[in-house]
Amino acid sequence: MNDDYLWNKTGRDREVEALEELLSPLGHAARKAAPAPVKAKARGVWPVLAILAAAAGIALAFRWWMPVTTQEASLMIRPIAAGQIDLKEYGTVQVHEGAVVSVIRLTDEKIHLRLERGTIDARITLAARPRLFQVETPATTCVDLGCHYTLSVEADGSTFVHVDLGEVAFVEGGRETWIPKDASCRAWPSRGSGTPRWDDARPELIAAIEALDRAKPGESSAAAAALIRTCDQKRDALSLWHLTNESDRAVADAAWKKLIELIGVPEGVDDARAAEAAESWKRHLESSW
Amino acid sequence: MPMRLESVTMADMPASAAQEELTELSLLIQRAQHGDSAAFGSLHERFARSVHAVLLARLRAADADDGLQETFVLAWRRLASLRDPSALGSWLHAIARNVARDRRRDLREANELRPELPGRIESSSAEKDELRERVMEHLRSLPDAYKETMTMRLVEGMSGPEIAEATGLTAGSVRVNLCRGMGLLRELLEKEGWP
Repeated sequence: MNDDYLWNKTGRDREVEALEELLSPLGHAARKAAPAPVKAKARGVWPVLAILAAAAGIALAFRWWMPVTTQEASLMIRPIAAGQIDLKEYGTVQVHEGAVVSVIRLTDEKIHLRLERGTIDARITLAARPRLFQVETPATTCVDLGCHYTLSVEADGSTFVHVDLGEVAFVEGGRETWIPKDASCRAWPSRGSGTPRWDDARPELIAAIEALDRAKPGESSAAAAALIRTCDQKRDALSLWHLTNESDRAVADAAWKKLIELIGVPEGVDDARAAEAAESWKRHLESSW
Repeated sequence: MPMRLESVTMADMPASAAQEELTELSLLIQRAQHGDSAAFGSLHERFARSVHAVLLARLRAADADDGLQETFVLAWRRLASLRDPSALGSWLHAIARNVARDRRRDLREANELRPELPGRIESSSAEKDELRERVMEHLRSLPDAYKETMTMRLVEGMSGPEIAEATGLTAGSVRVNLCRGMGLLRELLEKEGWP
C-alpha cells in the first residue's frame, strides 16, 4: 500500500483524508481559530472577555507573553500593570502598581487570573456564582466564594489574603482552607496554606498560629497541640476548624474535641466528621462568632 | 525495500541548513531564557501543534486545551533548566505527558472522567461529534509511539517530516510509526464498519 499521502500529503488516500476531515476540528489551529458556540444559558461571557481584553489593552506597561486558547476565544495573555479590570456584573479587580497579573482562563465556568507578585483587590459581586472567580499564585489558588478581598504575593511567592466581605478559600490539590470575612491567611509555595485567623486575634493566638505555620517538619505536631491548647474562645473555632483537616490523626482528633467543646455540634448533624457535614459546620461556625 | 523520503527533516538537511535552523532555535531559546516573551511566543508557535497532539492523545479536547496552556506555563518557568536546544521538542512533550498524567489523575480523583460519548444523538452534527470521539478513543488506545505520531498527523495536520522535526525522531521512525499506527487504527475502525 502506498503511504505517500500519510507521510507527506502527496498523492491521494481517501481513508486518511476522511479521517483528517473528521478529526481536524480537534486540532490546535482549528480550536484556536474557531470560537465554540456560546451556550444559550451562558451569562455574558463575551462582554467579560471583551472587557478583560480591553483591560489588558490599556495596561500601562506590559509585554506579550504567550497565546492562550480558551473555549470561547483565543487571546494573548500578558502581565497586566496597575489598573482596573472591570468584570461587569461580576465585579472589579483593582491591580496595584507593581503587580504582575495574567489572564489564565475565561470561560462560562471559570474566570482565572494568575498573580505572580504584588497586590490586587477583588470586588466580586453576588452575580458571580461561588468559585467562578479564582486567582492562582505561586503558593495557592484563592477561590472566591462571593466576596471582597485583597490578595498579595511577595517576591518569594508567599501569599497573603485579607477578606473584607464574604469568604474565600485557599485551595491546593484536594485541601481547602476556608477564610471568612475579617480573617486573613498566608500560604507558601512549598507548604501551601497556613492557618486562618481573625484580624483582631489575641496576641498569644497569633503567636501560636505563626509558630505552627513556620514549624519545621517534625515540629508541627507539637506546635499544633500548643495552638489547640491556646484556643479557648468561640471565635478561635476558625483556626480549630482548619486543624481538623490535619493529616496527623492525633492533632485532628484534639482539634475536633476542642471545637465541639467550644461550640458544640451543628444541629441535625449525626456524624460530625462526615464530609457532607462541612457546610453545616461552616454555618454553625458563623453563628458562633 | 528502503523507504522513500520525498521531504527532508532537519536531520536530512545539508549540514549548513540544519545548523542554521538549530542556531535560530538556540537563539530563540536563549532569548526566552533571559525573559524575552516574544521569543517564547515564537517557540510556542512552533511547538503548539505537536504539544497539543501529545495531550490530545491522552485527554479530551477541552482538557487538552487547558493542558496546552499549563504545559507552556510550566515550560516558561523551567526554561532555564533546558541545556540542549535540539531537545526542546522532546522536552516540551515530556512536560505535556506529565501534565496529561496529572490531569487524568485529578479527574479520576474528582470522579470527573465523564464518558467521552454523548448519550444520544440529536442531530447530524452530534452524530459527527460522536464519531469523532469514537475515533479519538481508538487513537488513544494505540501504543504511545503510534498514538502521538498519529494524532500529530491526523488531527494537527502535520506532515511526517514536520513530526520528525518537532519530536526529534528520525524520519524513518516517524514513517514506521505512521504506517503501523494507521494499520492498527484501520483494524479497530473496520471492526466498527468504518467508514
